[in-house]
Amino acid sequence: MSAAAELQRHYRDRTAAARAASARGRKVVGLVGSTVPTELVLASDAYPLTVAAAPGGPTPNADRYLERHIEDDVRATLEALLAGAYAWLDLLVLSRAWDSHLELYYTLKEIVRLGESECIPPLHLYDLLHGQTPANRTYGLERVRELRSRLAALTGVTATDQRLRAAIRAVNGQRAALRRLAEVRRDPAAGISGKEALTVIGAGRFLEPAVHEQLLLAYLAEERPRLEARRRLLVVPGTPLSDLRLHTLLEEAGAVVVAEDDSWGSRSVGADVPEDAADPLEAVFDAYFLHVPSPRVAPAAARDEWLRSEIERGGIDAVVFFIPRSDHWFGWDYPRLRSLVEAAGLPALLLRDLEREAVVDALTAGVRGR
Amino acid sequence: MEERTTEERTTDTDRVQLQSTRLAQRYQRAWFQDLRRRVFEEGVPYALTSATTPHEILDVFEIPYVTNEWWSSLVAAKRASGYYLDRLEERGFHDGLPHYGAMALAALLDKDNPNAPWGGLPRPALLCARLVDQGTERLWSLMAEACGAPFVPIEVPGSTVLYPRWWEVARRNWEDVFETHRIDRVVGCFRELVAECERITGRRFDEERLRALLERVQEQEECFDEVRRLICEAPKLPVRLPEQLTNVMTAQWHRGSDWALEHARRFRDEVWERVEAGVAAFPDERVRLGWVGVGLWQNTDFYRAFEESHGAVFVRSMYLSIASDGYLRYGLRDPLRALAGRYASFNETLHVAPWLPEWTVADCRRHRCHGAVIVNLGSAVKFTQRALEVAGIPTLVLDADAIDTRGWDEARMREVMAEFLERRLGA
Repeated sequence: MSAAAELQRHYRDRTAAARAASARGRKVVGLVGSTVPTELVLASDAYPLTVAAAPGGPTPNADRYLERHIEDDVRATLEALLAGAYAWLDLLVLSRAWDSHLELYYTLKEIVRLGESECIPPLHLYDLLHGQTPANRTYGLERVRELRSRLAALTGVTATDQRLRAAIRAVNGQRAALRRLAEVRRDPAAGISGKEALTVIGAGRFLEPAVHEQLLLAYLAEERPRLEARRRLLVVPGTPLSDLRLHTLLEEAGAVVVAEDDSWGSRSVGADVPEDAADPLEAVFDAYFLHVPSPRVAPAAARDEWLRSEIERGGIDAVVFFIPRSDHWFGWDYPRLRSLVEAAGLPALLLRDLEREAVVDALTAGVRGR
Repeated sequence: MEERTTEERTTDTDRVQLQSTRLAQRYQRAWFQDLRRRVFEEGVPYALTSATTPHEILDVFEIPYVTNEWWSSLVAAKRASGYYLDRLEERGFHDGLPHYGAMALAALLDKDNPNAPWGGLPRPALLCARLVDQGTERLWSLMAEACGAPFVPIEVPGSTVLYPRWWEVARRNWEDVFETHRIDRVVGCFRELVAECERITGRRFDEERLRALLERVQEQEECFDEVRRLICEAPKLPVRLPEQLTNVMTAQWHRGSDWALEHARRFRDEVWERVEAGVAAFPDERVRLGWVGVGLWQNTDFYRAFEESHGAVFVRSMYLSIASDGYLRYGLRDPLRALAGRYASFNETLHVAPWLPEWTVADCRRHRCHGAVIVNLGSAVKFTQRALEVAGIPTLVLDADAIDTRGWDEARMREVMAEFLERRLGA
């Protein structure tokens, strides 16, 4: 099996590798959100598995509990949890970088209290506050130490400085491979579509970092046909890109996505954690606190800066904003981000629905607008 | 009680039945005109805040404040929300963004409008809001940018322990119920607000003054606690919901002030007199309804629209009940901490299960509600609807916007309500 096929398999069957680890007796910790440090879970001798069911299917059980403003990905994840898809997890850690994840935490607690599901794993809230202030950093450091204690109680292994440094090296290795992919995919000769990039990046959420790194490097070494000339898009979504629907629609309409402002895509790389930090736990915390994109923790200016730098790199024909109908926050940022794109002389295309017709309309309007 | 004129005594079936209501309306209008005069003519700095922020700290520094939610309700009541929402859409802010908090942003951006309600919103010197969701910081930062004023956010950590019957213990054991690490962080934010107030006024924070103010707030909320008891126990509703809202919220926006405490006492006494005299807001009352969620500010007449047709009266809303259950926090040894004990979970008690559903069921039962209407905004609506139904209180979820007049279909809403009253409550 090629590395591409192997990565696609893990992207589709999101729990396969973790279930195998669990069967071998390893503790598996589910993570909701991008701001829970993988290094800490690894250093506690547990398997870190992102819990994110692919949205798009029916969610009748989740709909009994969730309000309409909750995003599709969270709805799909609750549906999977209620169906028992994650009942075997040893712990489920929910971060608060997105409001919906906090609502999911409260909803799961209430479902447990009401005795309406036996499938919910033990829960832990990894509470990060809004903004990167010194006081919020102090609060966050207390929470990361609390999480270390919880994980140590679960596995019997404390994430010592030595164990953390080993985990930091492993995740930095994965980041280096992701960084290489982000560079290569912008070259049409590499033959990497946006959909495929999202798949091979996303697979890393379900694999151990070292395994993902090796598969990514093997994938980059594989031969692919050059991509034909297409409009090159940068995507700025208002909801996590935990599935392929948006990229599929855009690329079926004749474009190629070369970058996306989302931690499921180009921004999964994050910042390396210094391997020689005096306090590796603090260093791990800071890497996530300061560099992982999210609506709650990361300031709006950080998003502007990333977008500006990506545009300045060149090779982008248009920027697509996706604001789902359920959006209740990204719309405050949109006019500012749109101005930033237009000031750079690029078309800013707006999508509200994941429908073929809407995508074609938006792309056509972008062509006309140039 | 103030003496009422003959004319006022003979208009009890009119829209406004209580003398307190008229006084509250007059006071609020005069207060805002005075605020505008002081801000524009005397250069007095004022603060624009959200409802669930510690206004008491601003009072200690004598910094006047306008509450964003009050401004939104005023704009909606003047039926100007559609105009302002259109202005926001012109600037690229889509229609699905929360409307309730957005009126102030629209007013600040639309600064040259000569027809703004009550003359428009003056430019604040300080903004302060609790970050209730991830959009709040964005919205308030936009407002801060629009007026060039500093923004002090109030951060509240997530709750990890959710006692179902919080209101039974939170008045005194708030430290246990709302978690020490959460209260610690909120106190930290309050200190940041204090520092900003000290910078603006050039004065030092006076803790004794805050304690004295909080004691007056406690007395005010105790008055409202008594009003709730009177309403719950009276054979028939003595004061209509719109008048409850006007009296409670006007005093709450000025809580702890001499006027607010005097008004709370006056309102309590007038309600007591009506109960003693056997006066009912609508004598042919047959069905009692609880209103759950944000007030329908754009159309408060809706609350009395089913009296004649179905004998239905709205007896309950969160506004009066939260005044006692949410605001009363005894134990003022450290007044800033007691204040944090109040605000650490304000949003959670009104939006998170089991806190909202359990409290709503208990409060509706206490008000002897036959049915409940939930306005479909915010979180935990489904949990609350289910809890009410399980408790034997038929519940309607009304898909309505509390602020935006543009999508309101009066005929359709009346039809939905009439069907609910007839089919579920036999009215």
